[in-house]
Amino acid sequence: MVDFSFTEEQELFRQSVREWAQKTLPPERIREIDKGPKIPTDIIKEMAKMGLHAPTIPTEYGGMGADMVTACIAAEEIARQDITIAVPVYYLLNAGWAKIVDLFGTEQLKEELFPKAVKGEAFIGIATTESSGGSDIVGATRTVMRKEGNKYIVNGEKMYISGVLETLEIGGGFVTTAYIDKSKGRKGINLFFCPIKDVKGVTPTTVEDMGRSGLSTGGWAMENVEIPDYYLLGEEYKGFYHVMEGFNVARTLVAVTCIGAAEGAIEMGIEYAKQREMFGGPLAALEGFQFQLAKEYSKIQAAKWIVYRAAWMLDQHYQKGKFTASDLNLAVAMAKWLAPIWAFQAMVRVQTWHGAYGYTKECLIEAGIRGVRSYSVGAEGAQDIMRIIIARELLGTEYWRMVKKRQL
Amino acid sequence: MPTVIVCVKQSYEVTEIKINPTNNKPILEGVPLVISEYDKNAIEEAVRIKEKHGWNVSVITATPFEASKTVKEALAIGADNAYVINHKAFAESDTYVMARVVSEAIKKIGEYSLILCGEGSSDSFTGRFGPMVAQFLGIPEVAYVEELNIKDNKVEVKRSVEEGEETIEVEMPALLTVTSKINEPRIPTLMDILKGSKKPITQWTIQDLGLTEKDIGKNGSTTHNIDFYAPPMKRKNVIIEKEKIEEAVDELIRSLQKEGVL
Repeated sequence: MVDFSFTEEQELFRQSVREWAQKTLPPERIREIDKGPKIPTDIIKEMAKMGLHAPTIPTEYGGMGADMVTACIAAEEIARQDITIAVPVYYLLNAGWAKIVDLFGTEQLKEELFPKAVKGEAFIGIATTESSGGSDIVGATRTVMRKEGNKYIVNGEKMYISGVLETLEIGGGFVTTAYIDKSKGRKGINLFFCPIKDVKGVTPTTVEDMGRSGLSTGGWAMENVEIPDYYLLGEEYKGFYHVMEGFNVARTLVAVTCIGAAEGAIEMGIEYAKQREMFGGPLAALEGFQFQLAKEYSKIQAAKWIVYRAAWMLDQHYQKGKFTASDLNLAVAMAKWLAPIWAFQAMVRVQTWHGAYGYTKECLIEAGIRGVRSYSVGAEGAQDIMRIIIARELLGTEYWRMVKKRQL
Repeated sequence: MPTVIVCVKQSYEVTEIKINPTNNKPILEGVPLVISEYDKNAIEEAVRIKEKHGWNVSVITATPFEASKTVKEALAIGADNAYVINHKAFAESDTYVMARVVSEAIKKIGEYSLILCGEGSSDSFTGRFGPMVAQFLGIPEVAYVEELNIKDNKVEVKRSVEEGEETIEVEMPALLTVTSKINEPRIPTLMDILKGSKKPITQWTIQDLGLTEKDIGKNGSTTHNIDFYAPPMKRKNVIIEKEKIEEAVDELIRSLQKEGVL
């Protein structure tokens, strides 16, 4: 039999995070955060008190040692409250990429980074995208690095990266890709941790996003930036494969964040429809509304359980060695494909229920739509890339490669 | 090490209770059970005593329902151990029975210096439970405490009375019921929850406490709940019509003052 229940501890954690989020992030504060340009320092401090900075970090470094399902619960609950998803994305980037630093990082890096990260004194983000592209890491990466003694020298530029201003303020850095040997293609990429605060040769820049404006977006140029060799993540030349593993973790967290935001929006919509009087009765009494509600809610619930299945599979993989990379790729890609699209559709529907009010900045829905849109556009992996992964895993990797070669 | 015992009730999440419009009765089916609101203040205060004075904190709950999640929450907030007494007949038991059961459990625990309860439960709010437990145990009791300080073998408490503030010194062991003003309960972190889930929980039956089926449920109760419904709401629909808005506002304020709202 299939058991869809969470443990009592996970239920209590959900209750705690929900209570914390309702208290710390009331709608008026979320609206203020949405003005940007970065997550306010007091919110970062409040998150630290609740242990919400990278709870996936093991307990020996001061973390919570949370598994993926538990980490997803927090993302869902923060997003249910902050439907603009600025604070949840700040949370999920830390939670997801800290797990990758834990899997592939050196002990020295972990000892240096993790105790600060759990206190909110270091951010851990992801920086693979460049001006030339994001999804096609092999083709779009222009950043290069070379080894010199016990350090690497990095040159290049990263762009459209979340958390740049926050990192410049508090410290930390990004899980970053660069070619160590461009001629080797995907087998010539290194993954490393790249700090940007007070680092010689780093020139940061920011861009203004359409949504989730409470979290900064930007990039930085690197000119002969020195990175200590113990900042290398995993094996040299295997960075592409390591970062892809990281994307499975991050995409699951992204998907559950979209679900949380949609759940929050639908709850707002239900409350509004019960109170909104029209044609002699509440909006909620109209069958037209009810059918739409049933459709959107059912889609979000369907996507939610696909997402939690992916999170559970990742836990089974990391804890018990179950499931292959192919199994995980398929499960995560389905989650990351469906959740943002259906969440966006649900939020647009909720906005419609609100009528003219839903189109104003007095109603938080518009900010939620702008926020969730980032993940249906493609942050953390474009939607069509998700469909390519699904098809590839269904057709079989070998068959897919063969067909591709024939086409070429 | 001195012990502070906190009596915890599992109550219905009142914000989730809906009223059946046909008979005005509350719909309790599917309503989640949570730690009664003011009991959370009691747990928080006990944990603060622990942090300040190094005391041991025990929680005790008697309930007709599965209590594991509730107890784990109390342990996550910082209690050291928990005692649970489960019996289906507690659903039909009045405050007298529940106070008797809990006081027998406290006698079985033995040594304690202080007992803390919420001023009332968030669902039924009779406010009688704490005083009754104190009566069964034969110890002094102060209700509606808003501040407490442990001073050797005494506890100094402050509470609001109609025309001011009262400070009382009580010899321990004593029982205090606390209001929500006493503190703001902490929200447990994941680490608190995980630590809490490893703390000991002792299960007792009513027989372990020297009680029988006759002592509980309808048999043991001294009061019986005959009916329970929400009072019908009647709106006054007063319309204030004045030429000037200022006059209308003045009239509105006068009306509200007359009703005792302001």
